[in-house]
Amino acid sequence: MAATRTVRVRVNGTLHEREVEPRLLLSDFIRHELGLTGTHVGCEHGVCGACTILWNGEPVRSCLALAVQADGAELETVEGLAPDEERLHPVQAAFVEHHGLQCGFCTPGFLMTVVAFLRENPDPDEAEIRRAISGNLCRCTGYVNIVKAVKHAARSLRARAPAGASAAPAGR
Amino acid sequence: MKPFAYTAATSLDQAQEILSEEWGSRLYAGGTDLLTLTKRGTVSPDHLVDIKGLADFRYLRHLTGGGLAIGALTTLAELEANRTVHRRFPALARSIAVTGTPQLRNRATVGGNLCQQPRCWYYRGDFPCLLHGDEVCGAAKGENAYHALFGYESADGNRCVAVHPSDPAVALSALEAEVVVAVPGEAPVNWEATPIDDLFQQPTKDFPGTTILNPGDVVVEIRVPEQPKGSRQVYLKAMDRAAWAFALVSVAAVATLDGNRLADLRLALGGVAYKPWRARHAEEIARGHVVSPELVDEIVELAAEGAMPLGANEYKVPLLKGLVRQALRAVTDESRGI
Repeated sequence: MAATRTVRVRVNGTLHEREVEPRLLLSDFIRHELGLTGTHVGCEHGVCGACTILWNGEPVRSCLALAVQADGAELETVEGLAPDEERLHPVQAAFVEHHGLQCGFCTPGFLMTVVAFLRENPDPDEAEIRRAISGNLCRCTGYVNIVKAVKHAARSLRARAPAGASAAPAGR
Repeated sequence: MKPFAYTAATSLDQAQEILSEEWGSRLYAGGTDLLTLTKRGTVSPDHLVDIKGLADFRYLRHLTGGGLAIGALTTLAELEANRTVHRRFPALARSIAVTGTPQLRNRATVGGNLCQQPRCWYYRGDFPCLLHGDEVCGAAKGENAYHALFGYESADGNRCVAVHPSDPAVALSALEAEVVVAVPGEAPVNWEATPIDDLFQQPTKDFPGTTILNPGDVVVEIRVPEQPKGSRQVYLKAMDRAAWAFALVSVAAVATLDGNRLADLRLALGGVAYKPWRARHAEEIARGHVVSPELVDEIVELAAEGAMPLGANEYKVPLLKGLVRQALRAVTDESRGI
């Protein structure tokens, strides 16, 4: 076994430190080391998008990155979206309300992709939405209700944002 | 994956030293290609040398004379979002927008995109492949629907018939870009710029590699020269689905019109050879001629000149011609009768 390395990473605001093998994938680190199993692993080779997380605010595929690379990074996973046990994030609420999911396996990846997308583009048209979710596969819905959910989520996020506030994350 | 050592390089020198001295070490940046290969066991590195953190190679700089220098560790997403790229190099901007998915473009670097490995299933599966060190290219006489039309003398299996998967490489070829390669031990002033087409080589039994790079060589910069005043650019990509696929065929065209006359035309074809394939004969014939339906027909025919379908990829010839015709329409004025 190759020498382990220390990874310090902030996930949903909480700092974690672990000793890991260099070959450990970031997706497996999040699920097995941190116990955050909301990040799903589908194809495991960068095609399906189920494992999408935010890395310093940008959506990336956690199955195509090593945990050691995330040392020092700020990550967000689906567990960090809802403000508390009772309430859902507006994007989650929109997916529920507009049937943006059936089996739900792809949903965490969609949610993370959409959350980052709406921070950058709070008022997208349908073509922009479809482009934004082009890296996430859903085998149940046919995407129609997902697109609808994204439109409604954008609307409720805009209604919530204080006037003049920028929804864009830092660093882009 | 087999265990491997990992170094987050703190300087290019450190990375190059490991890469040139340790057999089994591999350069690593975005990881979006290498990890897919490592997971399948196609590549089994002993040591990954991660240069992604070298901020010195992540930049966009204006060159004197109007061109653009792109640090090789710039991500595709950063390039895609850059206004200069959009305004002055729209073919490059488009080629990036149709590469992979948003999630991949956030991680993938432009240097890595150029140095990625073929998507050939003989290479990525456990099948005969020159890149595995086998005697023959299995695709030459096998399942070759996604393979080359150009660049090999005969389909005898002695030459790799995989195509280069990069979209930006094709646009960069039409833009006559150069790549700067850092050679271990050489001072930066001695780093040489090479025309992008010359970065790639066709794998053979004796030289089973896809680029001219030696161990420790690193692509550090891409230089895109200023384009002729008034030139128009386009990048068109044919895929077998609407998103997130490699090109069946792609075309990058840069045209400079002087009134009705084509003062200059550059046509680079993707998905058809081990490198971006320049349709040089078509470019030559076009130069200096008045745009007409006859000239367009001639350019279209010449772009496909010398195509050698392998068996299952014959469809690429008409696809290529159709795409070249569309590209010509886009970069010339339709009112001139095309």
